[in-house]
Amino acid sequence: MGDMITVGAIDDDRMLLEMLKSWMSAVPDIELVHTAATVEEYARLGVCDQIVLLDLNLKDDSPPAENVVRLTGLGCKVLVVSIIADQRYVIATLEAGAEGYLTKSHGPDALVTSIRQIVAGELTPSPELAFAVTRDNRPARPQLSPQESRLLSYYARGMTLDSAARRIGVSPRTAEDYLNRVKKKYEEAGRPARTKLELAQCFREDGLEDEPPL
Amino acid sequence: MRHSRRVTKDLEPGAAARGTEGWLVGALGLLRAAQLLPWLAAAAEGRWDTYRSPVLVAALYVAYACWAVLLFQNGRRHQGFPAWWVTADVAVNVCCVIAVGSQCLPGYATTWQNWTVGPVIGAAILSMVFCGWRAGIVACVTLSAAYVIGVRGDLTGPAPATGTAIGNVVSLLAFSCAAGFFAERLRSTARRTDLAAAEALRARDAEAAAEARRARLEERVRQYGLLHDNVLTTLTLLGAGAGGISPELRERCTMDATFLKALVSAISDASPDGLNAALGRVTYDQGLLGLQIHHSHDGVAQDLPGAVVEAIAQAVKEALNNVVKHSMTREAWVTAEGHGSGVVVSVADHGCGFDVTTAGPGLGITRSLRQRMAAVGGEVDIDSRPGQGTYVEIRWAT
Repeated sequence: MGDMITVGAIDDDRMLLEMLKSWMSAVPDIELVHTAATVEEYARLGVCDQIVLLDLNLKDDSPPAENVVRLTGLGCKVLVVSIIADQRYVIATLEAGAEGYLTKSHGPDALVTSIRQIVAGELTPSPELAFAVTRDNRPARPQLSPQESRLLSYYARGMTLDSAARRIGVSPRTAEDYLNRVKKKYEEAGRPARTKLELAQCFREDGLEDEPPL
Repeated sequence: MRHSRRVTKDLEPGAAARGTEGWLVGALGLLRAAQLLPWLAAAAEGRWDTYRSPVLVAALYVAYACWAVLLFQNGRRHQGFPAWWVTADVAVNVCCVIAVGSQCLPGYATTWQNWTVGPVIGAAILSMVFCGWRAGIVACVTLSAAYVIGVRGDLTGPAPATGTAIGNVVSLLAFSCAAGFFAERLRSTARRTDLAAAEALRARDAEAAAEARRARLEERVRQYGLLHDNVLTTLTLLGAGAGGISPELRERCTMDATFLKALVSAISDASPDGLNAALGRVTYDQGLLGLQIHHSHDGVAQDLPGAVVEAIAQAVKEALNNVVKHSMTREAWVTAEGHGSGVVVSVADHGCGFDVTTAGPGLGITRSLRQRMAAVGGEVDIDSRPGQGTYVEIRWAT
C-alpha cells in the first residue's frame, strides 16, 4: 500500500464532509481529495477518485442505485454510508455495484479499514449489509444456498465470521467464500438493471435524451 | 356529527330487548282490559237476578279492576313483571273465579254473566309470557282447576254446560301456550337485533380507534422524520468526533444517537410501543454503561403479547449486562427479526467469550435467560467459546 489512496465524498451534510477531511488528514495513506453535495456536482468536477464515499439518501432525492451506477461509470469504487440502514436502498446499491455499506455510527477506524480493504480488493461486508441481504424477501431476489443463508444470518447478527463458520460447521476460509459468492450473486442479479441505467446515462451525457431508450 | 349521534342512539345496547318487553306489557294490558270490559254491557242489561249476591259480584269486579290497573302500571314502570306480582295476579284470579262462579245461579256460571272467564285466561297468558314455561304451566293448571271449581254448579243438573266449560279450559291452555311461543319469538328476534347492534357498535368504535391511531402514528412519523434530518444527524456526527468536543460528551452523543435511531426506525415500522421500541430503550440504557450497540431489526410482528415483549427486553438487557461485565469489549450487536408471527432476537459480541460447558459466569446467565424466556414460551440458545465472542439467540413463536 505504498501509494496514496485518493478518496472523494458525496454528502449533503457540510459538517460530515469537514469531519471526514480532518479525520483523513491524520491518515498517512489516504487523502480526501474531492467533496460534493450531489453526484451531479461530483460528476461536473470531471475527476475520478479511487474510492467515493456516497451518502445513501441525498437531499436531491436522486435514486441511490442510479448514483452508484453513475459513479462506477466514472471508474470509482463506491462505499455507501448512511445513518439508518434502509434495507431496500442498501440492497439496491449493492445490486448497482457498490463495494460495501457502512452506517455512519462507525468511527473513523472502521471507515479507514474499509477503504484499505476495498483498494486491496478484499472488503468484508459489514454486518448491517449482511442483515439487509438476509432480510431480502423480494420474489426475484438472488437464490442463496441453505449454508450461505445460515452463515449470512449469524454474521448479520453480529457474530465474527470465524464464530459463524464454526457454528455452521465450515472452515473460516469457506465462510469467506460464501460471503463473496453472496456478494457476487447480488452483483449479477443487478447487472441487467445496471446496463439499462448505464445506457440511459450514456444518452443523457451525449445529449441524446430525446432518443427512445433501447 | 349529527349522523353519528343518531346512530349511537339506535345502537344503544339492549334497546331492542327493552322495547320488546315494554310492548309485551302494553299488549297484555290491553288484552286484560278487553277481557274485563264486556261484562259492563251484560251488567247494563240489568240481569242482576242471576246472582246470589249481586252486590258482592259488582264489588269484586271493581276491586279486580283496581288490581288490574295497579298491576299494569307497575308492569309498565318495570318493563315486565317480577315473579311475585304474577303470583299475586294468579291468586287474585283464583279467588275471583271461584267466588264469582259460586255466586252465579246454576246455569249462569258458564255464560257472560260470569265476568271472570276472560280475565282468568289473561292471567294464564301473563304468567306464561313473563314467568317461563314451567311456572306458566303450573299457573295455567291452577287457574283451570279454580275455574272448574267455580263453575261446578253448571256441570250437574238437568242441562249440564260441560261443553262450554271444557271449551273455556282448552281456550285458556291454548291461548297461553300460543302467547308464550309468540313472546319467545319476539324476544329472540330482539336479542339478535341487539347482538347485531352491539357488533356494529364495536366495529364502529374499533374503526374510530384505528383511525385515531393512524392519525397519531402519521404525526409521529412526521415528527421523527424531522428528528432524523436534524437532531439524529447532528448527534451522530458529534459522537463520531465532529466539533472537537470532549470524549465524555462524544460518548453521550453516540448513545443518544443510538437511542434516537432505534426510535426512528421503530416508528417507520409503525409500532411505537412494540418490541423494537422496547429494545431501543434497553440499548439506550446499556449504552449509558459505555457499550456501543449496533441495533438492527426487520419485520417484527406489531402485536406481540406485552409479556413477551417485556421478557425479551429483559433477557436482552441481561445479556448486554453480561457483555459489559465479562466480555472485555465495548461493542455489541442486537438484532430482531420477524419470522412469521414469531421473532428471533440476538445479542452478540466479539469479546473474550467463555466455555459454555463448565461452571462459571456463563452457567448462571444461561440458566437465568432460559427461565425468563421459558416463562413466556420462548427458547434461548447461547453459543460461546473462549476467545471467540458470545452469541445469545432468543426465539419466540406463537
